[in-house]
Amino acid sequence: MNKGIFIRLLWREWRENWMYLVVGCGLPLVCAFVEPRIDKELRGTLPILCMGICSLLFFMQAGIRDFNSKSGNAVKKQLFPIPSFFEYLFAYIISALLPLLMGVSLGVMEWKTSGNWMYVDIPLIGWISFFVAISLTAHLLIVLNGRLANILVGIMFGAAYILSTAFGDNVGGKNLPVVFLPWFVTGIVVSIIVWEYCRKRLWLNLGRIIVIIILASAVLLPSKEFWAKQSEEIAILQNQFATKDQSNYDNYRNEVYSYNLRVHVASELGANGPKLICDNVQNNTIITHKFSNEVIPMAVNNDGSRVLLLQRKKWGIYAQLLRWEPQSNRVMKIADIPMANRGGYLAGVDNSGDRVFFLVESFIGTYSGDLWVVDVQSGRAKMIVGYSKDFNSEMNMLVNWEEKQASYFSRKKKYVVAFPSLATSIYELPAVRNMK
Amino acid sequence: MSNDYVIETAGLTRRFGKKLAVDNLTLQVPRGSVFAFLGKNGAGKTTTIRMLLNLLEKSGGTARVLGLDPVKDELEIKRRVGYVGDGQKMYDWMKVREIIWYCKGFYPGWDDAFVAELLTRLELDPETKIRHLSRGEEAKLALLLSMAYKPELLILDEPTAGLDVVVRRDFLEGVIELIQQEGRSVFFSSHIVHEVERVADWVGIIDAGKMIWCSPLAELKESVRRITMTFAEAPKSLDTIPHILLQENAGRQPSLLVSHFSDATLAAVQQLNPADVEVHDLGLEDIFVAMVGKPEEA
Repeated sequence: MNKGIFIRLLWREWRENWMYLVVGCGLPLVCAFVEPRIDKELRGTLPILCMGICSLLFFMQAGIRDFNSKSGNAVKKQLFPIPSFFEYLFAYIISALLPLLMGVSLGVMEWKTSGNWMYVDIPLIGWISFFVAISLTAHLLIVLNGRLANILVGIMFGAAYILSTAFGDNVGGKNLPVVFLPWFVTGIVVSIIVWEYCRKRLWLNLGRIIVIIILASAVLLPSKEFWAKQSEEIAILQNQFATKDQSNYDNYRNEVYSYNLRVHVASELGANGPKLICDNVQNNTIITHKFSNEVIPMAVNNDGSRVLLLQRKKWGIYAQLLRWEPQSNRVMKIADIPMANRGGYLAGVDNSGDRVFFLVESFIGTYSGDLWVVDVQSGRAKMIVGYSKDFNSEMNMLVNWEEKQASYFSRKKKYVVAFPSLATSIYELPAVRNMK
Repeated sequence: MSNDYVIETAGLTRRFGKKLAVDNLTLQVPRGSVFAFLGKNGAGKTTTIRMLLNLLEKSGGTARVLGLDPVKDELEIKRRVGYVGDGQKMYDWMKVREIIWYCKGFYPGWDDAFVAELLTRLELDPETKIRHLSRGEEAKLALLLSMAYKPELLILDEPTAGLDVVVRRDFLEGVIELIQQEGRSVFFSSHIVHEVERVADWVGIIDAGKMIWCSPLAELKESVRRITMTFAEAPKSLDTIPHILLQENAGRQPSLLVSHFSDATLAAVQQLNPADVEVHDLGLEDIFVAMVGKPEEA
């Protein structure tokens, strides 16, 4: 393909998309400028609102573009003497310039509004890929199924992602683009293959039906999991109990003692499967509980009424933080932490027992780590540093806890993570300073 | 496959499920001809054209366009063939000038001087936005864009569909003028028969996916005649007359439309001892009606 064709296709894309580019790139930058200057309580809301508007912009763009220019027809007919995939390339991939630039803009916004506590490439990669996938989905729907399908899936997307991101505080929040991206990408690729097969045979209606089913599934299936997680968390919040005043935790790998040394909890991997044994010398009781997967005790309070556990899901990509109450023999889930399959992890509990710090191998890559903090009382889990090469569960050491902050040592740097008001506002959360 | 033909198909077939849209179509379009591809709506014209341009996969048979395989040599064919489709959409936010610039990049043989000449001749304002063009002007613009790179073969698929009578005539006259100047091959489909008669020198008639006639227009008109006979008493049967396409009247003065008209036809008529015989030439529309039934108007 010569330069002239490239310039023309690019020009066509620019003429059809410039207004979305201005809005989509301008809005996050304005948000990044305004956010530090507004009321603290509202700070978290503004970036989420901005992300929502930017995401829905792609559905709008695809719909209005089709309405105004009828370019969908021009694309479908493929009349120019260039390979048909170039038409697709420029109709879809070059359209990705928009999500690319918007992703950069939103990534910078997130980086700035988060108090520079993470490397800028993390939000950039996440948002760019996420926007590319949304854009491709919206364009596919327009070209193949028309505006109504585009609007419907846009609404589904809005409900499934924007609202849940806005109102949820769980693991899906910051990791949303990365965790759900494979669903979008798979949906798009399968749709294109199916459509091309059907189009050549003129099974157009069948092709359209299959494509909308595939794309709607790609939107809804992961969101089902996401919403389920929200419900579980609400249940935990309803069952929360106060540990703050009476507990002093200590932690020690596969066996832990309470701070007063009266309670000892150990894990065993016997012939009948993994179990936990709680030996309480105060009331001379030994209580055991069987688990389906191996568990690691992390901390126990002074009266032995509550034990924090870590369980690795056997086939899953999560580590679960659990709470065991030996006296009633109840086990409750506090939070799920996404991590690489078979990846390593480190965890530590602070002295109040309110917070657990996790370092896990990244969900999306090897030799990189995500740093999470969990608020035990609320069950909220937040990734505070993600996909960082500086974090590696095999090489790094956790952690020196203090009342309002924790220190973390990587190979090259020392980080201090401060928690001024973790339980009340997630956006007050992290302020990591490079201590070199 | 011969170099004398710009389009050549043999046994070309396309099925949509159980329906045969194009049935074993054999077609030869001579180089330099203006070939009218006639058929009723749904006869298989557009399906055939789409297979020729590889916009649709064929179910069987072979096809050659400019001696090239539409599947293997798709790009080369698109470079050398101009195509105006039925209801072809263009970027309506572009100006005429802009879409000309846009399309120019895709064709190495683009001729700016010719485009300027066409703009004047077709009375198109380069500064007008496409969304502000009338349907006739849009059709003219599509024609301009398909001719600007001087294609060896111009394929027009129902180019005047949806246009009113005056605009259709205007458009077709423009086509005639251009074709006469350029001396290119033109293959165009239509179901508005009387309008193509002035333009075409070859005719192919397709009905229910089958090619039922393919010859020079003059040969077709020479071949199909109306024979009006007058008898003293109504003949019992006219079946002895070969190649009857249509019987218009019965009784003592029957009127027949026959194909392959020749001395043998007249001899067969005379054997019935009519008192009087009149042989009339027919227009293309009458021939078309006789062959495939009444054509639809656009």
